[in-house]
Amino acid sequence: MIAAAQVTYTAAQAWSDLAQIGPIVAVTVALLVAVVVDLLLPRGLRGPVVTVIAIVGLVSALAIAAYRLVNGYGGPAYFRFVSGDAFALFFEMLFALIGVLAVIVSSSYVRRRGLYEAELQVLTLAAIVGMMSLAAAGSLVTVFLGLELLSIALYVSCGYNRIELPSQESAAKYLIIGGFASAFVLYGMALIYGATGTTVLSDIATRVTSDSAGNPLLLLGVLLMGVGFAFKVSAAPFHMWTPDVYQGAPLPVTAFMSVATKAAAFAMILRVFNYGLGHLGPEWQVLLAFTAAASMVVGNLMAIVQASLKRMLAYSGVAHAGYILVGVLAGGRAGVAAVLFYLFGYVFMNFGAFAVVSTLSGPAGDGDLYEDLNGLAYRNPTLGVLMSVFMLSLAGFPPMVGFFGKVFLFTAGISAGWTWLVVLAVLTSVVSVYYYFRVLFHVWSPLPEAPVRFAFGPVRGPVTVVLLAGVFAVALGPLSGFLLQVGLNGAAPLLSGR
Amino acid sequence: MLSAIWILPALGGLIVCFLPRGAARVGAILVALAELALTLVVAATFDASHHGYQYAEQASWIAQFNVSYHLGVDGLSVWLLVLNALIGALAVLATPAAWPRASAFLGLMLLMESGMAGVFLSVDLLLFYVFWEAMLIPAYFLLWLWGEGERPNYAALKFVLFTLVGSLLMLVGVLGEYVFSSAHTFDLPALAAQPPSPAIQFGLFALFAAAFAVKIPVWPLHSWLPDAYMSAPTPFLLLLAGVMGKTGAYGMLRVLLPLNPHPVNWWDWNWVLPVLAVIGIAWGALLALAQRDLKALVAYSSISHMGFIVLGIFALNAQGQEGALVQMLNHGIIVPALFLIVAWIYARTGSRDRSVLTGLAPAMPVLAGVFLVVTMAALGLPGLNSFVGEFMTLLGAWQLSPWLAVAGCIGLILAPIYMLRLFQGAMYTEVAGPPDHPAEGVVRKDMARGELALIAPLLALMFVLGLYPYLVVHALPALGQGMQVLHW
Repeated sequence: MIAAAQVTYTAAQAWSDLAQIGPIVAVTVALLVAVVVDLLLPRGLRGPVVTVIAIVGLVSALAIAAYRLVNGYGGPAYFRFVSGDAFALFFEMLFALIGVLAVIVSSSYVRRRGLYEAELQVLTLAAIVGMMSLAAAGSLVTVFLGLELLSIALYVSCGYNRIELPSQESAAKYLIIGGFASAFVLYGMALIYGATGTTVLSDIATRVTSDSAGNPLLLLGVLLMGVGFAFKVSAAPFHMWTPDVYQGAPLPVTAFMSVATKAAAFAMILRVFNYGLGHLGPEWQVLLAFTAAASMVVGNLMAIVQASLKRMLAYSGVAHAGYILVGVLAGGRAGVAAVLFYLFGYVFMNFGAFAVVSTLSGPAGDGDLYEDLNGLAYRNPTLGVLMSVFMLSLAGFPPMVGFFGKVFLFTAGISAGWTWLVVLAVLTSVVSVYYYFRVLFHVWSPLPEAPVRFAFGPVRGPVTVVLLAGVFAVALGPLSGFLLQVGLNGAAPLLSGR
Repeated sequence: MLSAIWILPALGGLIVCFLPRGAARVGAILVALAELALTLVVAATFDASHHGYQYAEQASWIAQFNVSYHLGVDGLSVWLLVLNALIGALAVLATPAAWPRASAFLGLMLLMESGMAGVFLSVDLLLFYVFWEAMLIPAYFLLWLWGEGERPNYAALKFVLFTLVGSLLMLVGVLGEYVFSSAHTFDLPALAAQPPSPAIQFGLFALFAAAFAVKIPVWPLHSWLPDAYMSAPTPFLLLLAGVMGKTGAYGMLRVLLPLNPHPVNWWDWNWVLPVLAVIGIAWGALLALAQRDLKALVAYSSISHMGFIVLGIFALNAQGQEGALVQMLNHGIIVPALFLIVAWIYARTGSRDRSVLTGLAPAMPVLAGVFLVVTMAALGLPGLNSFVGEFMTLLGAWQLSPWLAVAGCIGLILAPIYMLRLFQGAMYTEVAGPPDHPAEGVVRKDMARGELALIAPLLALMFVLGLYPYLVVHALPALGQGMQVLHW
């Protein structure tokens, strides 16, 4: 604390630190440039130019992260407040990829809905900077900084379609409940700082031993942070905001939130619980095991009765959070690697599904009912086949990536003794097949007599994204050995401290 | 060589999906026949004196979990592969060119055939599971989009959900084998060599048994079958009834018993499955007696006959399990033949109602003759194939417990009743109704040459296997890994 004043900070050190957070810097620069360009350019050019800038920034972040991952990567930077380790790089690549997909889908969506383009891209970039900081966080302070940055950007994005009431409702709900969750997390962090005297995670990891289990400050801190984290990953019983927020927000924002926020929140859980508070495992595992079981049951059962695709996917997201928590509970290298693998696969299958739904929107609104999918396979065979691939992957059918993700999660779960949770996960995923197949039913059912609500407008961008996601969702399955190795490398930094 | 057996129909199926109608049918037939030739070459060059997997192919797949891409054939799988290819070829040939959306239908059929071939080929547990689940996707679409009857969607969804409950439980079992076996691999021979502790085996046994019992199906998990068979279109039904049920029985012999040879925990589990099998034999036969619809009758008789297979497997002796394998092939030959005949009668008379169909033989003597042979085979007449299999399974069951064998004979007694009553009623009862008899005025023409050619291989096999069962049994000692009998 006081020690920081005595440190000399050389220029060489500054450059090396900057290199550690290279991907974050790239996105931040793109964000700042985009804001300025948005002010200076003539009206007609703003949208397309900002979109291009966003894509360039994200792709360069991806390239920097990939380069650092291949050519050896460092450890802590900025007095251990941030880290450029393999775990951070994994998530930075993931967020950059999601960002590219989201920007493309948004660009096409806002044009069809007649919304303003540039600001949404800027907000997406800001959220990504927050997410990347979260994944790279080496200290509770950085964790909270990243969490707030991503949350505030998303509060605004949710209300982006401000003339529509559902969008306003979505933003208001997310703001209030998100703020509530942030407060929980912050209070928990304060208590943990009180108990350990530090916010740096590696110091917490050494100071909190299994003997600390009796410390009420720590336990209360873990409880409060656990509740806050569960809000963020939308795990039951703290999932109530998810369906309403997802339904009201503009579709690309929903798609982005459903995968990126979830991944970021899991990165945060892994950093704080599995790494920082690893020795308190038995304590937080009780909490998360209950949350995981509740998420699987509630998510899958509630998804059955939804009429809106957005709400169905929201509840299915709750269920998937439950599955992923199995890997968090299992911990260890296999468990963390399984979580990373699953998140990577989940991004493509879930974002792909949302991107397909986003093609159904027109000037009049979003087509998010099951009926709007009727005959999709005959209206647009590419989208029909790909939507089927995403649903089968979400349902966990081989050879799609969703299946291998479940295999790795459940293997880790059984190895760590969470067999009952795995059996519950398996049984509830049978339930999930019902509602995923209901989508297939509408996609492949013969064309309706009545005209469909939403004919296809110019949707070239999203189709590209859907195709890309579909290729990933299928191809990553058989190639899962490679991706798992990336996940295992990413998991390593969380274990070296102990 | 073995990779080609599953890749050929998979690739062929994907290509056929995008071909125009006429070309799709020709392409599908070519692929199916090439597949049949490929499996026949493997069967012909199979070395029955060799112990272990033959034509094995192994490559590392997911190295971190010791998952390998490992294929092989042995005495258990080689003839099932041929059966799969044969029924697949017949099913493609039985699809008329005028079939609705024929390209997609044929493509999906080939994909399903590929999945089942993969199940029979896999020597790696995870690979086995991948193929096991993968074959379900085309099956679902085939059953739903081309299904007959009122609610094909309901039948298809019921089929998928039933199967999935079992197979997802099996997924836990698959992962459990990896975690609890000291081998820490998914390779079947290695897992069989180092089974987990008996108490763990008990749990894993139950998980695997659930999946295979649903697929076969074993009473009381059979309720998806009548719905699925009733709404399945005939070409797909050949594959579904002829081969898919066998994957469950095959899984019992390949995975369930070798990997969990001594599961003991709270009670003597040895009796559970044989008793369920015998109940299934009687239950299926009794329900077959009560059916008026021809298709439903054959469906329930199929449940009854599958009971013999399970009984043979869990007799846990050589005769029983050899009989089970023979019976798997027999059932795969007889049931498709029966469903073909039912479809042809329906095409000619517009009815499948047993009480309406009478006196067809004079109008269609060849069909009557063919039907007679198939009926005799189905009820187990000595000299035809089914007799051999049922006799061997009952012989095996007798060694386990005479009472089980006696109870199993109920099926043998009831089979002639429902089969002969069906045959006589439909073919030979005098047409003694009023002039406005429902069956009057329909097209009454005999079998076409194409139809005869379609069923001829099945008829020939009924005689061949009936008179010379050694053809398939002699390959059995060439097992890739110990079957249960070898160390019981």
